[in-house]
Amino acid sequence: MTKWLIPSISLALILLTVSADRQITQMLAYTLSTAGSGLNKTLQLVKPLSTQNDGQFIPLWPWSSNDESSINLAVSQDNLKSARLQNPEQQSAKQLWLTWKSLLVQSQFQQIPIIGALLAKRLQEQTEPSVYAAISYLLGQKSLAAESKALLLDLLADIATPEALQLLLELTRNGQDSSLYYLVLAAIARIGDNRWNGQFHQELSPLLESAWNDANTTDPALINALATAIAKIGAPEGVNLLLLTLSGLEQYNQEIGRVKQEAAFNAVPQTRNPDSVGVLSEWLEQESIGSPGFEVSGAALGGIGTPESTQEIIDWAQDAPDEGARNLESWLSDVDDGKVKEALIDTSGNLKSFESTQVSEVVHKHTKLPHANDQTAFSTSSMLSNEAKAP
Amino acid sequence: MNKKNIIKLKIQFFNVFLWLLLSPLTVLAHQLAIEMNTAPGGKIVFADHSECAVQCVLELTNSGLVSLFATPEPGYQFHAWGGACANTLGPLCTLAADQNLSVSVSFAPNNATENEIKALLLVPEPGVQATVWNEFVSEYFANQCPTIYGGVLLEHDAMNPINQVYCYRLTLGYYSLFTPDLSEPVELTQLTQINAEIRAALLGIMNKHPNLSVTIVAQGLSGLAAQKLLNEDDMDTSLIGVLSLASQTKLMQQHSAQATFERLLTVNLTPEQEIKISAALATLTQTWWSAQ
Repeated sequence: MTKWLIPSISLALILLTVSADRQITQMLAYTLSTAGSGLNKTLQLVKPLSTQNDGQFIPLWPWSSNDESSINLAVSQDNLKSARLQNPEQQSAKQLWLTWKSLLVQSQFQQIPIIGALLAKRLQEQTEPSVYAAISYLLGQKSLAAESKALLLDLLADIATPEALQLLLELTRNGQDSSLYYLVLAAIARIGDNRWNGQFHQELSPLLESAWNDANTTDPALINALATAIAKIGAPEGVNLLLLTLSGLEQYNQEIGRVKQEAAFNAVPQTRNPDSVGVLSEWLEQESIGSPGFEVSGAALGGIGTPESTQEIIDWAQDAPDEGARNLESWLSDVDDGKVKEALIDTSGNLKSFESTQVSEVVHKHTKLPHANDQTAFSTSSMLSNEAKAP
Repeated sequence: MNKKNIIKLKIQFFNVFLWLLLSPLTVLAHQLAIEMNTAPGGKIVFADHSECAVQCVLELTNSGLVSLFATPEPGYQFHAWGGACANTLGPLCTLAADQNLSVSVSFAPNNATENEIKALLLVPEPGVQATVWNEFVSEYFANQCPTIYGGVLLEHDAMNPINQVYCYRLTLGYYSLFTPDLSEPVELTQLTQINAEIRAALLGIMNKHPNLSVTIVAQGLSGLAAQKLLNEDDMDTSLIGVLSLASQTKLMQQHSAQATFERLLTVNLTPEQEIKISAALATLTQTWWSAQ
């Protein structure tokens, strides 16, 4: 009897001490998890990401009794053991997703972006609906820690495919009361920043435009997020939609219309896609100086800063009145002076002239050359030779 | 109960007493025993630049994180981790350590014979995406600036034909989600980890281009981490300069009315920062870039 009593008391004392220390609890849980079949029970012990104020542990994966094939990937435990990664660059999207989940369970936050990037790359190359379904399922679970959901949303913004964006847009329909709502909006707003393969992803724009035009889109924060994403993707149709809204040509409810106009006004200058130069220059030419459409079109062209967009600004400036000088000053401050010089030369090799002296002075200030209107002061060839001598 | 059993019982009591006495102290002292198994061709180096030959005991930081670097000798490159780091890709293994560890690493011969390459490493501040460099990369590198994660390069890299420079942008791990000890400022934990990420990035690039010279452009806290690395660099890398930019998030916080939401939404460089980078690159072009 004594032989068993002492070890039992010792074990009880050990467990009591151990349970007071969260780190060791995790260690114990992890040890149990690697032991094999008891993984489900083990994960109930582990709180992988954050400690609640009441110290209550929250299981990472909810154990639902209504498993369906589409959510198998979300709750699958196949790869949650600490197995060595085998050739991750050759793994399928499903395998990478399981690895990503495994890293989350093990709190390996340094490695998560690496596998996340590989997974994003794989889904960009070829779609895999079951992975999106698994992400959607997990995001819908109330018991999943907020930090885990934030990482899932980050993952969707990194994937930045139409499927990922569709999922984000669907999440906005859960309403503003959701704790996830503003994180979803942030993910939508920054999806246009993701230029994977070095490209603007205009295939995302139709989904955003559709959400923009949706009569149910009334929340100002959502409207701002959509406007930012549309502008940053910079598809000509999307930019045109924002400019139509801004000019009042799109019909909306009065209050919503005002919110959308303000959002479009703030968003269009963030456009950087050279494909939108044509649309922007049309608006620049047709809008009157001082109108919102005029202001943001010129700002976006300046921000794009390519030879073509600079050319459009200079072409507009040739006929511009004096009051256009202030806008020109602002727009050219974003453009490389070398490109302004190039844009000053017409197809015949002559320098362009300007109707307004004030406008001409602004151009002069940026090119550090004699007034462009003063054709006798220098010739094109002398300007180019000066440029060639520059360090 | 015979005498033999009584002695056994006393030993058991003593062991339990000793365990109860010492185990909390061990946790409080943040010490960690690591057993190394390093193959020929390199070594494992800790964040403080000390090396561990076979067995050693580490004093942990309050965050409880341990960063190990697989550092190859000349002529070798990192191949793979084993043991507690087996799930890790790349030369940086960061562990939230709460138990003694066994770690192994292997290296492979590196037959790359390349002339010296010049590279720019762009490092955002914590909480800011690597996309913050989009316009800069578009302007100066024709969008050819792959992201590097923990020393792992997942995309093709190429030298820009105009400025003859390689470009890389660094993405940081989710360090804010580690649960740091409240006695240590979050910034200090972040500084240590950014420093580790930059070291890993240099090791990762050197794996591919052994003859490397790097200049770092970094924002805010990341600039401090890069400067610290420049001062203490003993990896025989070639980190030759750091351009530190003002914190973007602090600039945005000045517009406090919209700070919270803008911080999430806005990731573009400010015009002032763009001008600074452009000016710095122009200077480098005239001096260091073209001097080789």
